[in-house]
Amino acid sequence: MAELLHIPPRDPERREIDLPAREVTLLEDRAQVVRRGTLRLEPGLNRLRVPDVAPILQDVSLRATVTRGPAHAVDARAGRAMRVVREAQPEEVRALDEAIEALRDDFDEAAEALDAAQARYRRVTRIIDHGLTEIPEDAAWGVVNVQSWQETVDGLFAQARDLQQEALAARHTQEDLARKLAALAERRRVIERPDHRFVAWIEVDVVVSPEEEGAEADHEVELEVLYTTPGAMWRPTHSARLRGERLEFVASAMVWQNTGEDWDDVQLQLSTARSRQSTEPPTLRDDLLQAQRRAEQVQLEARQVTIQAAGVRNPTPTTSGPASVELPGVDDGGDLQLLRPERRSAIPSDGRPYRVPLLRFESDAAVSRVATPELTSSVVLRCVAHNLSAGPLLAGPVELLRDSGVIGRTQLLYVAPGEAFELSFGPDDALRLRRSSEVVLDRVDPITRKRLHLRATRIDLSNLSDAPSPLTLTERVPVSEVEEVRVHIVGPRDLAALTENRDLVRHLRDDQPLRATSSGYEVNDDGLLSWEFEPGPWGHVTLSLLVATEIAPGVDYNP
Amino acid sequence: MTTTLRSQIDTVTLYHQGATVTRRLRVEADDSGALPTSIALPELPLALTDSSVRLRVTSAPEGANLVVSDLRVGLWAPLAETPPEDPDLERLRGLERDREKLEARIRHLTLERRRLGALATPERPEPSAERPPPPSPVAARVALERFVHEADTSRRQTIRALKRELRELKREIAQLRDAIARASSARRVQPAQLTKQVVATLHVEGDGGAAAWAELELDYDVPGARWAPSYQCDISADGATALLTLRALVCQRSGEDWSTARLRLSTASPTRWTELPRLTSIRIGKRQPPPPAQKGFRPPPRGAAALYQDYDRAREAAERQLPPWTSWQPPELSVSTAPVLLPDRPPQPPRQTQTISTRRSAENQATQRVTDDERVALLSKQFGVPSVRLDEFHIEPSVLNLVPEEVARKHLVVPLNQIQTSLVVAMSDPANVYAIDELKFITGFNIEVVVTSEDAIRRALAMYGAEDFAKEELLYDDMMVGGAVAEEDEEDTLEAALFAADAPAEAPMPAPAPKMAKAARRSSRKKRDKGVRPSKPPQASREPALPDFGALRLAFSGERRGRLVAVEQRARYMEHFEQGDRAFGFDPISAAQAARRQAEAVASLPAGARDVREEAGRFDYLYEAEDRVDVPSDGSYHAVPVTRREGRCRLEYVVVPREDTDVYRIAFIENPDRAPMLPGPVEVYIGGDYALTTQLPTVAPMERFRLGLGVEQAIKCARNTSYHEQRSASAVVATADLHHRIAIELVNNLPRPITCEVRERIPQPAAEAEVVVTEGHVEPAWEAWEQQNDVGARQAPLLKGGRRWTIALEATARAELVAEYVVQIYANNELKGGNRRES
Repeated sequence: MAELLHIPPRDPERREIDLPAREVTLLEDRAQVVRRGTLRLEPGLNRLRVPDVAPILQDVSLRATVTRGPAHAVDARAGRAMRVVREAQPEEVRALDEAIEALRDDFDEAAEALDAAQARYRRVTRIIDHGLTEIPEDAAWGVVNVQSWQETVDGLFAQARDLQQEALAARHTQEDLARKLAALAERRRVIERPDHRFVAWIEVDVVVSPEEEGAEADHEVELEVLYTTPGAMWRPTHSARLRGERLEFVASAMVWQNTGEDWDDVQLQLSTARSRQSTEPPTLRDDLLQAQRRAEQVQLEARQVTIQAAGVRNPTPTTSGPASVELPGVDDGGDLQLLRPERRSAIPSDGRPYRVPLLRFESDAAVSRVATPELTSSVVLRCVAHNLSAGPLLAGPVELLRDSGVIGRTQLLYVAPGEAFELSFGPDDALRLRRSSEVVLDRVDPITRKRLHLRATRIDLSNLSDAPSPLTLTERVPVSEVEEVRVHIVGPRDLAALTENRDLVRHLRDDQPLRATSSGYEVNDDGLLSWEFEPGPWGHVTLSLLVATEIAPGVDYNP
Repeated sequence: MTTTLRSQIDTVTLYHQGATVTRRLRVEADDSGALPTSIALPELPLALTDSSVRLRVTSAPEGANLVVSDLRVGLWAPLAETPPEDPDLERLRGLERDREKLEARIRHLTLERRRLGALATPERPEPSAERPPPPSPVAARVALERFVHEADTSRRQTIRALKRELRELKREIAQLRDAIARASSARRVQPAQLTKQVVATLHVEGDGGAAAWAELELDYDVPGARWAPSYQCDISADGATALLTLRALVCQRSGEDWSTARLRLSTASPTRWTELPRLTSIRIGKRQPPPPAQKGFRPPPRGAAALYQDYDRAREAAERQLPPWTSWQPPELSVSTAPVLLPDRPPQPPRQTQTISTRRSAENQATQRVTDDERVALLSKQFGVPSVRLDEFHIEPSVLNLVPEEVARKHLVVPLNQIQTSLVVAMSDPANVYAIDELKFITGFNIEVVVTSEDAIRRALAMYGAEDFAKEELLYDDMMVGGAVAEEDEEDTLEAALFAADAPAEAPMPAPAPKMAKAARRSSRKKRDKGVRPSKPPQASREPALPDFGALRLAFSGERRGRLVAVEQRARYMEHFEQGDRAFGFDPISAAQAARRQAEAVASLPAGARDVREEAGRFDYLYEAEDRVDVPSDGSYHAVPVTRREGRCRLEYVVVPREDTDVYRIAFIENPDRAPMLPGPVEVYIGGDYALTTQLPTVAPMERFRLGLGVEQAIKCARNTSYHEQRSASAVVATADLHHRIAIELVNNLPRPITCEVRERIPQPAAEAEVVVTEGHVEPAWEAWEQQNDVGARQAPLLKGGRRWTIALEATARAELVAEYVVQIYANNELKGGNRRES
């Protein structure tokens, strides 16, 4: 029998009703919950209570409306209390207390017995001590009675032994009693310990005003209660499955909630809307221009520029982010998105992620192998597909599946309907690259003061499979924006011209013969240089790139 | 309900370090006709790399569209087969008490014997005044002695009986204790039983319908396994063909035996997951400060914390009103420890642990004398990761910020650089995969490891907290406002920049800012020059790499309420044990770490073997074993057959009669494989008989290599010389002509024709010496020969005047070779070392 206590106490006159959560609109960091139900209410004021709602709900957001029936909601407010559940069993407690008392007495008794045994033992041993010193004295005086000596000494020693055993037994009794007492005490403590839970409910006052005067019968009323609660969120997540030349894409939402109320059967809506507090525009800062004298020496630097491709969304953000698990907001491309999953969902309040599928589509996929040996030594499968669904794909992680199994995870930025996007399906295990790059010449001409800088890059590719594997390999050369620096790719003819200059050849840093840039490349304005080729089964391919940088005198630039 | 499935090892791909294991398994539909949706694959090695696990369906009935997803790696241990009965603890307690009593009794009796034994022999009493002394109390003494003897004897007998009883009792107690221990250890996981398991979801995509079965393939990487080639070369008796057997020496300690596995041997490294790499374009232009960071991703929403206000207020009020509650206190007991009636036990000898531990720490210090640099170089080599000197790096604050300070300190790591979706992290222990896993999870980046010394990391970690990183961007802006890109002395160093950054961030410091920026740029340029990390995006913006959503939980209370927290690795690992009541006598996480360390610490390569990756040169190769093999996980090298191929072989004979008249056999064998033969020891058999063991160099595909096979006794060679001097005088000077004649006889006693090379050397005049050497009559003709170009004799010295005959001899044929040469000197000169050059 448990005693139940609410602190502060609840209004006992209210009628408890069942009003399940029916619709939940999830925002990026909160949820709006709609509870709806049909009730039979009597005319006049009905004081109702919806039990076990999320205790963290925001009070001001609470709103109750009657959506059907001759009634209107007067007031709605949230109530919260600490529910204290205490197992109150006075009978058992008394019995326990008595048992503890009795054991305690036994324990003390054992302690006394022990003390007594010890005291007696001390006395007996003293007698023995005296006896053992006096016996030889008696003997010396001619009093010899072996019989009586034996009886006395043996008797006393036996008594001492018995007393010792008695004391031990008393201590064992004590140990047993102490164990029993501890068990009873634990049970006693458990009975006493109360169980606290913080609960919340919603109190709604509904006035039923029947159209026909004096109708006493109950009326059917549909009541709706709506409130906002933190502790719930969603983020887009996707899965992409590549089967041959087709890409099956499923866009889903990952939903978490730990509000304190379970949503058993709700229609979810996932929104990218932001609440009012966070929509303040950012502030601008000055950029005051000032001129200064130009430096004597021309200072140059190499800058890295990310190339954006129109038409194909690049899926992987190229830059860094915060370290915590604070997820960024949902990138909705500037358009407010409100997504509705087809099916109703059940999201328990356990803080775990639940996947809710939103939309799926299939697209043709163009799969190719790309290699950028400067960045990674593996050849990566690149897949370009189109978003053929009606809605956009929101930025989020993508689980990658190849045929039937998960092979990795990547992420996708916002992709509009119809737009193309690319995904990486991981490295091709059969193709291996090794790249080496070194400066083979860096020399200032003694006469013209021009500096010539030669960098030789060599890439060796091995195909460890019995299938031919076409691929595109990309390297880069710097692009000069100034006339002081000229960069060019050294082909076989240029190399021949270069090596005619004996003076230069003497300064080459490498013992290996210089290799001109392999033919068959294409280079674009961004300095990205690519070869397309197909290593045969078990084949090996070597590509070389020789880049010459000419730097005018008086220019501070380090290639 | 998770279905547990057993899998079989199918293929093992060995890399130059580490291996990928492929297992196969079959899933059958259960009674309801559907495949299980949640499957668990236990009994995988503890050392496996979690992030490398892949599971896929290889075959299923026609039309079934099966997908495997939600892979999770955890720990697993078998359940005890039958829960044993609880042994009688109460009985044990009773027996222990009996033992205590018995021991007390024995102790007491022993004491009694000692007391009685100490009984004094009575002196003769002092005579009273002026009386003769009383008679000597001999009879009394004798009686007393008998009394003592009898008392002692009876006690000794009692003690003996009691001791016998005690022995029995002790045996009984030991048996009972053993039974109890066995019962509790049956519920307890033993370290050797702990394995990893993979849990996955198997579901049918679309309307494929139910499948009755499916075959799955599981891949995972284990660290540390190594291999090296060794060869066996069987040359046929006639020397026409050679059977080349490639045997791999394989060593692994991954924690699982590879039995009947198909072996593939690769010279490459295992692949890691790679995102789509994207090259940035390099533009050379006028130097100017970089533009401020652009905003990328939408920032996380704010303000949800304010929604908790009502809850907090109400809760606080309710808690204030709670009635005070004091817990019931049990009565205090004090169990007497008094009944120590007799001296208990002898004092224990002083413990030795103290001295042992100090000695051990002294040893540690001795081993630590290996310098940091050596250690770093060693680690770099061992794990195949580059090493860096942290002092030469300027770490961008935006990069440093990617790893929270406490994580960096916990694992002793420093983020250095970030390239697209990879984060370069310096560690002192590149084997710490748990750190790598955690970093990967926290940052969402792929982690690339470089190694450096622990001290350097500790120094670099001081950068945390000392800088307010947000401030630096502000300073950049200030600098642009000032427009003064002050290019001051070129000597300002990175230390200066760090020093500037170390100053309290609250004070605005416009002055050192340009220095700092410049130093940062310079150092990043330096990095590129060193070729450690060739590319780097211009600056970090706010686009995050997202962590695995599946491992995030929304917190209800606490500091991070309403926000996501990552599930700890321990919790993820221990998932399997949540329901069970298994107890661990050890820490399972450190057991897993220890297993990994053990797997990594495989033996160094056997004598004569070389690292395959270094020897493969610039390309990588794959060798597939023809038969299934067994490799136990015992950390020692096992020779397993890989391939057998027949190559063409040609035997040649070489004799250098000037030095030795023995005829040497040399086999020229063609590498019949499409892959090169990597260097390794080779055992040579000729016609089935063991000949010798030698070392094989790298042999390119289809290239020939030579094997020296030793002396062929069936071919005989004899060399005889003659010499005479002749004075010849011309009109101007008189010269001495020193005529040398060499006659060589060669006999082939083999039953087949042979080709034999006969090598000779004629003396050559030293530089500027007044000597002329002329070749005379040679029969048959010979040719010039350069020793250093001879295949296989790479270390041979440069030789002047080399000559050789190549003689074809029919079976049992004989050949005679003659060569003459003349050395001319001035008549009044002689050759140093004697005129006769042939003996």
